Parts: sequence; C-alpha cells; structure tokens
Amino acid sequence: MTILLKAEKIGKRYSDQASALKSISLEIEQGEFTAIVGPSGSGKSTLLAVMSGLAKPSTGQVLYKENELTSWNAKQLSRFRRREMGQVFQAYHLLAYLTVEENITLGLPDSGKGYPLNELTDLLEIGDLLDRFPGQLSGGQQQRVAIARAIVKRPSILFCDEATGALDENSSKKVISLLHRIRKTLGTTILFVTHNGEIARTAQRVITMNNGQLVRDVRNVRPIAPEEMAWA
Amino acid sequence: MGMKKSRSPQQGSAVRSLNKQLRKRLYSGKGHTIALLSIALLTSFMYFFVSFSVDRNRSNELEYAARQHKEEFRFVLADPEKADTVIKRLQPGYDIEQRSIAKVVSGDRTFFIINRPRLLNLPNVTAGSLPEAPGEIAVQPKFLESNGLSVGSALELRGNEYRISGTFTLPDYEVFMPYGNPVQDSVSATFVIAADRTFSNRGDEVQTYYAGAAKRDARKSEIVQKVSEPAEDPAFAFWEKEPSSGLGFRQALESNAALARMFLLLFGAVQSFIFYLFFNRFMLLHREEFGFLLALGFTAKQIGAALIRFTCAVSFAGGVAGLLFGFAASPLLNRLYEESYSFPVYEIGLNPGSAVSGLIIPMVLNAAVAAVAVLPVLRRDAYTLLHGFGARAARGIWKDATIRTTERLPARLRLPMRIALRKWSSVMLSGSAVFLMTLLFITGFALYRSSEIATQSQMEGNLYKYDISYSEPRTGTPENHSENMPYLASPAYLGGADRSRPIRLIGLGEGRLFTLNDADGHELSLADGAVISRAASWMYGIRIVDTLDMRVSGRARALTVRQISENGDPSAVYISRTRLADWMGVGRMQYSGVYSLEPPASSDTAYTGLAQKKAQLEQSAVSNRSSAVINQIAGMAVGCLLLYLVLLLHVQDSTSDMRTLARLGYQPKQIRHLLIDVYRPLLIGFYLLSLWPAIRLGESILRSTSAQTGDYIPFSVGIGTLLAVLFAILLLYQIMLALFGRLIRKETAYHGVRRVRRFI
Repeated sequence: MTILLKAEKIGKRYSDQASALKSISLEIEQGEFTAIVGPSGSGKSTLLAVMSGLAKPSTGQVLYKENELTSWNAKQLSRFRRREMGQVFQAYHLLAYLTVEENITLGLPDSGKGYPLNELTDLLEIGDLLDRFPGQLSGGQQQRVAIARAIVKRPSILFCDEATGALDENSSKKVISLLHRIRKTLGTTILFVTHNGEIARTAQRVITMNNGQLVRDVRNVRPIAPEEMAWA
Repeated sequence: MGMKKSRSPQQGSAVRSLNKQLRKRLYSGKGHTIALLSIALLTSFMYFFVSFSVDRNRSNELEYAARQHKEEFRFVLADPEKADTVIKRLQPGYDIEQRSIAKVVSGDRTFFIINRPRLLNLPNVTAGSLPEAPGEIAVQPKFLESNGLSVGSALELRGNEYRISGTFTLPDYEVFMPYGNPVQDSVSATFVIAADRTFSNRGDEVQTYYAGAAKRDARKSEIVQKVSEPAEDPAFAFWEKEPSSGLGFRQALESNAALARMFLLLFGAVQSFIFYLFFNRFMLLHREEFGFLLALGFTAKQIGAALIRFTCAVSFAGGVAGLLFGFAASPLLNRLYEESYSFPVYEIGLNPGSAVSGLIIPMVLNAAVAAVAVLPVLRRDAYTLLHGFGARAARGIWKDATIRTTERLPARLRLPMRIALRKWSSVMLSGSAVFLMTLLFITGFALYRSSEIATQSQMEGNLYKYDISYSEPRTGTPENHSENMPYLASPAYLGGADRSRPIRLIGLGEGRLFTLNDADGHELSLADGAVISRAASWMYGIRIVDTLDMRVSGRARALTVRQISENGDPSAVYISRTRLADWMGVGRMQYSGVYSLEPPASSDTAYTGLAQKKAQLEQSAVSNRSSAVINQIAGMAVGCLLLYLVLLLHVQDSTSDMRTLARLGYQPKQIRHLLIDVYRPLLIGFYLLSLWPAIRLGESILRSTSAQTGDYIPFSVGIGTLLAVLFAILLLYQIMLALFGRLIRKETAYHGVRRVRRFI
C-alpha cells in the first residue's frame, strides 16, 4: 500500500498548556478509513489539525505524498487545502448567508472542476435542499451538506473531526455509512476522530490516544457495517 | 423530493461564494454599518463643507489678482524730487505706478477718488467703460444699485456734476485707505475712478503713493534681492510689502483651507480608530468562521480583500454623502464671506485635488487600519481560530490594572466599573468622545466670546471720538480741536533681521483722551519702557521684561516690555512720544496724529471715527461666530457618534452577561444599572481628566490662528462654559441611554437575548 500521509515525531505545545502531542509518529495508507479515538483532551483533534496542516507542530514534521507539509508556506498550504484535502467538523461550519448550493461550491478549487453537483447531491440525498439556507436544515442535513462541500473537489484525503458528534443515532449511522461509501467509490482516504467506540468498530484501522500519546494502533480484521453499530 | 435542477459549478464560484458570505456578514451588523457610514459621512462633510466654500473662491482670488496684475508692495518716497532715480532703480524687475487718491465728502457720503490704474490693480469693468474725459467717473456696481443710478446717469460731487461712464470692481477690493478710514462699504464710503485730469481740474489735496509688482516675467530670485531691504533704505518714507488690501479675504480663505485640512486629519484619525475597533471586534466575534475559511484553503489575502473592499465601499459611500451634504451646506460660509469682504464674485466649487483628498485619503487610511486589524488574525493557524484560542489571551496588564483600580471602589460600583473598563479600546473610545466634545465646545464658546472681548479691549480707554492722522509729522497746536491728545506714529518691523512682523510704534504724549490701563483701570506709565496690549502679548507670546528687537526708520532698536495693558491695539507697541521722536529724528513736539473729540477741519484729512472702528471690529465677529457654531455642531456630532459606539460595543460585549443575569432573575432595570449606568460616573471622570488638556489645546489653537491671521481671537473659559459642556455630554448620554435601555428591556425578555446579537 502507498503511504499518503506520514507524521514523524510530531509534538505540539500551546503557550499556556502542557504538551498536547508528545512525539507522535504515524503513517496513513492511501484509501484507508482510520479512526482516532480517545478521551477528551487526549490530543486527537490536535493530531488531526497538525496532520491536515491546520496547525503547525512545535516539533517534528508531516509528509504528504513524501513532501514536507510542515515546511510549506501559506500559499502552498492554501493550494493543498483547496485541491487535495477535505474537512468535516462537528459544528458543520456552514456559512449562514449562503444557500446549500453555494456552501457546496465553496469547497471547489479555483478551476471550478470537481464532482458533478447532481451526482454528488444524489449520493448525499440533498438534491432538493440546494436553494435552502443552513438555518432551514436539520443537523443531519447540515452535516451531509458539509460532507458534500468537503468531497466536491474529489480530495485525496478527508479529515473528519467528531463529524457525528452533534447528530442523533439515525443521522450518525447515515453519515458513517456515507463516508464508507465515499471511500469505496472514490478511493478517498479518511481520518476520522471520534470518542465513539462503535464508529471505530466500522474503521479498518483504530488508533487510540491518551495524554498526547499514541497508546494503541490496531487493524480491524473484521470491521462491522455502519448499520450494525449498537448505539448507547 | 423537489424538482432537481441541472447545475454545474463554474470557475471562481468558490471565491464568489466567499465574497458573498463576507459581504452579507459585514452588512448584517446594521448598527455598526450605520455608525461607520456616519463617521465617514461626518469626516467628509466637515471637510467638504469648508472646502466647497474655499476652493473656487481661492482660485478666483488668485486668478483675479494675477489677471489684474495686483500690486505687491506700496511705498511713499522720502524725497518726491528723487522719484525718477528711485523708480529707475526698481524698474528692471518691477512695474511701478504712481497712484493718486483724494477723499471727497459730499453730503453724507465719502468718495475716494483714484486715478485710473493702467498698469497695476487693473479694474475689472462690469458695465460701460472706464472714464476717459475729465467729466466722467466710474463707480462700483453696489453703489450704482443702492442709489438707483445707471450707467450714463449724472452724479453730483461737491457741486460738480459727473457722468457715470461705467462700473468696475477693483482687485484691491478691500482697498487701502491712506486716510485711515475703515473699509469701504461701497455705499456710504466708496471708491470712484476718475480720468487723470479730474484731479488737476478740481485742485483737491491729493495724496500720492507708488504701487509696485514684479514684472510678469521676472524671476523670483531677482525680486527677493531687490526688495529685501526697503526698511533700511532712506529713499522710502513708507514701505509696505504685501499690502493688506485684499489680503483679508485671501487670509480667510487660507485659514479656512487649513481648517478643512485639520478637520480631515482630526476626524480622519477618529474615523480610522473606529474602523480599527470595528475590525478588531469583528475578527474576534467571527474568528471561528475565519478559521474555517482558512481551513477550506482560502488565503488571508482573499479574505482580507473582501473585508477591505467593504471598508472602501463604506468609506466611499459615506464620503460621497458627506460631499453632497457639504455642497448643500457650503452656501452658508459663502454668505459669510459675502457679508465680510468685498470680492466681485463668490462661488462654490471644489478642486479635483480636494475631492480626491476628501474621498480617497480617509478611504486609504481606513483600508490600511482594516488591514492592520485583519491580517494578523488571518495569518494565525486555522486551528487556533477554529477553537477560539485567540480569545484567551485577553487577560493581561490592562485587565490586571483594571482589577486593581476597581478594588477600592464601593461594592455597587466595583463590578460595573470592572466590566466597563475591561477593554482598553472601549476606554480609549469613551475618553476620545469626551475629550473631543470638550475641546470642540470649549473652543467654540471661546470663539463665540472672542469678538466681544476683542472689541472691549480695543475700545476701552478710548475717550476720543476721532483718531486723526497726518501723512507727515507736524508741529504746533493741532488746529480747530478744542480738546486733543497728539501722538507720534511710525511703522516698524518686529523680530530683528527677518522683519517678518510689521507693527506700529506709537509714541503717546500727555493727554486724557487715550490711556493704557491695567486690570484695575489704573493708567500705565510709558516712562520706563514699552507697553503692549494684552492682545499683542497673547498673540505673539510677549511677556513683561521681554526685549523687542525692531527696526525703526531703517535702524535697529531694542525695547524692553515693562507693562502689559488690558486695552490697546493688538498690532501696536506703545512708548513715550519723546523717545519715538528721538528715534525718528524729528522734534520732540512733533506729532503725526491726534486723538480728538471733533472731526478734522479739512475734509481731506484722514481720520477714523470711534463708531466706525467699532463697526469694523463687529464685522470680523461674524466669521468667529460662524466658526464657533461649526465647532459646536461638530462637537455634538462627534460626541453622539462616539458615545453611541461606546455603548454599542459595550452592549455587544455584555450580551452573554445580560443573558446570564436575565436567567438569574435580574430585571432589565437592574441589568441596565449593572452594565450601562456605570458610564455616567465614567464619563464625568473622563470629562474631569479632559478639562486641562482640552483647555490648553483650545488655547493654543486660537493663539496660533490669531498669529497666522493677525486677527485677535482671545481665549477665555468660564465656569458656565465648563458646566455647559458637562451638561451637553450628560444630555447625549441620556439620549443614548434611552435608546439602549429600551433595547435591553426588550432583549432580556424571554427569547430576546439572541436578538441583541442580531442587532449588533
């Protein structure tokens, strides 16, 4: 398998806090669905931010397709974010003054080339929502729109930070199943941060963090289907 | 499922969506947008209101002066017999023209008849033609109109009849009067142009002087070289560079142009500060959204450009609105010029340069401060913004100082005061609002009172009714004056070698008709040295025991100021008559003027009536009062805007506190007391802190204006003024309180708190 993303001894320290990450090394293979789990404050969101280039590590480096992402300037980082990667957050971050369609096109690169909008909206079942504003959508619908925005550019890698954290059981299952479908159909690599153990059971690989360190990294020999998740 | 539309994203659609989101986000804060627009409008209005009334008049005045070949200096020869030699010496670089002027009193009107200028100060013919034959004269249009005459009518002047050949305006519109009379009003005292031979035919006593100006093609260096030392040249009995005629209007225009620039600078700075505060807050409030936009891959430049476009749009829209309002209001100032000066035409107009300055400079400044506020935030890690880590750095020196300062306050004030003072920007804004209001009001009041004080100081101690002056010093008893007080006067230059400040040196003799008095009304003695008026002391910063270096009759002299009088001419230095006679090299009993209770026997003798002098002083009061009104309006507008912003920001900052207090069961009144009422003592505190610097700054503004324009504009401030300023501040606060109080009442009700955010 090809290594898409690689972290080498990365550490992150905020000025007024203890270390959020302590010398973490990690390799992410292309096309893999990886779940990062751990308790609150364990450093999983920080790890995702550093791996996706949203935050600079205090020490170490991150390589994307063998290029050192952590040494890129603002322009290179911007190009990477616009063309190569997608992000899905717990808080959706849909822009209030834009319609669903405009929110989705916000994810396109400058060339305007991306996933055909009709196919994408069919895949995500949001075709009839395109002219609505975020305030008129349910949480599940908003998250599907956020996913559409993240994948419309056909990213190589998708970073999801507690993407189902604000959703109910049904919506969560729908979103997880959607992400798995995207990985299969588009070959997108997915890095999914969650504190939900059931979601982790659907992933091919599960990384467990605690206190800023990797404590476990296991491959799921038999991942369960999203529909099989037992919600607490 | 609804109908599906066929959609295909196009190139650049992401950036278009980004711009739309930011534009809508920015304009959704109506309160802020209105405040930003208003401050941009106010800045532009203050600048254009003045500039519209200055620019066109200024270029008209310069063009008029150039077209008419306006005189640049005047002189009277010490020995008229040597006229040819002296004039020949000047003629290579200058045009020199002899001027004759005769004063003729006919009935209740005074005419100043001048020979027809052919080289300098060429009259502007407005109807008919200039007189050619001895029986013809030309008059000013205002005179013609007010007397129901027309071109071709006959006019009787002391028994002789003249035909009016035409009407004219003179370039030296505020014309030099060698007879010492006040400015002509074109009706009861007016200039008349006569053909050259009219004078010799009438046999009147004619006064002669020479007017000069650099030849149109002369080089500046040549000019400076040749007229740089006239005061030392014994050939001239009198020399005046830059004659005061016409300069009054030019000076007024120039001083107003400076005022416009000051408005642009001052209000521009306040405006930029407000834009900075707005963006500072805006970025803090929406940092998560910006973090997300960065995470999507938009660059700081792309996001910043949208914000700067908004800044430019608001600045420009406010600027254009201010320009239109300024245009609409500018006739007010133009009318004041019309009342105070006699220029042929008054027009409203704007130079392209002023238009660009007024619209572009504030816009560029605002864009620059917006960039300063926005870009550092956008250059942070997207993750830092997304998780709000930027807001955590708030506790610092300022907060610690606030906590320490408020610890000693009574319990009921401690928390509200801590909340009000927690942000340095809010404190700065409140302080600026109060300081600017105090400064503008105090300066406005002082300007309003200045005319009264100036008139009083120049009229006090004058028991005479007429100030009669002679062109040459005389000896013997002044004729036909039952009671009189002779004096000797000489032009002099203050300031040693540069001689930049012309003054009048007056040697007072014995007499009761004019005395220089101290504050208690006691007469001051001239025996020990010089006495200057309070006005001169204030304008030029001269104090007791200062030594004045001056040049009198071409020789350097030094004088020590012994006393300062409460009254007297602002441009005069008073010494004893005997000392001045010695300096001038004339007999100690000679005099060049007389203070008298009766007018001169000869109608051709120059004099100034006390009533005329008073009228002249009152004329200059008009412009001071108009400036006072402008200042006060500006003060009110700035105060309103800034106090509104202070409270708006405060309410905005306190939204979550309000929500918490409302949930804890606090009534809107109690919330208002905790969060808003604290501003009353705070504003009073700022007012007290502002008083001293505002008084000092106001004083120095009026002093420098006085020194620049030569117009005595004394500064005064009384307890009434100070209370009025405080009252105005508290009144504005009460108005704002009513506005925000209602809002808090409404918004802290159930479901209401969200709307506070929307309003903001």
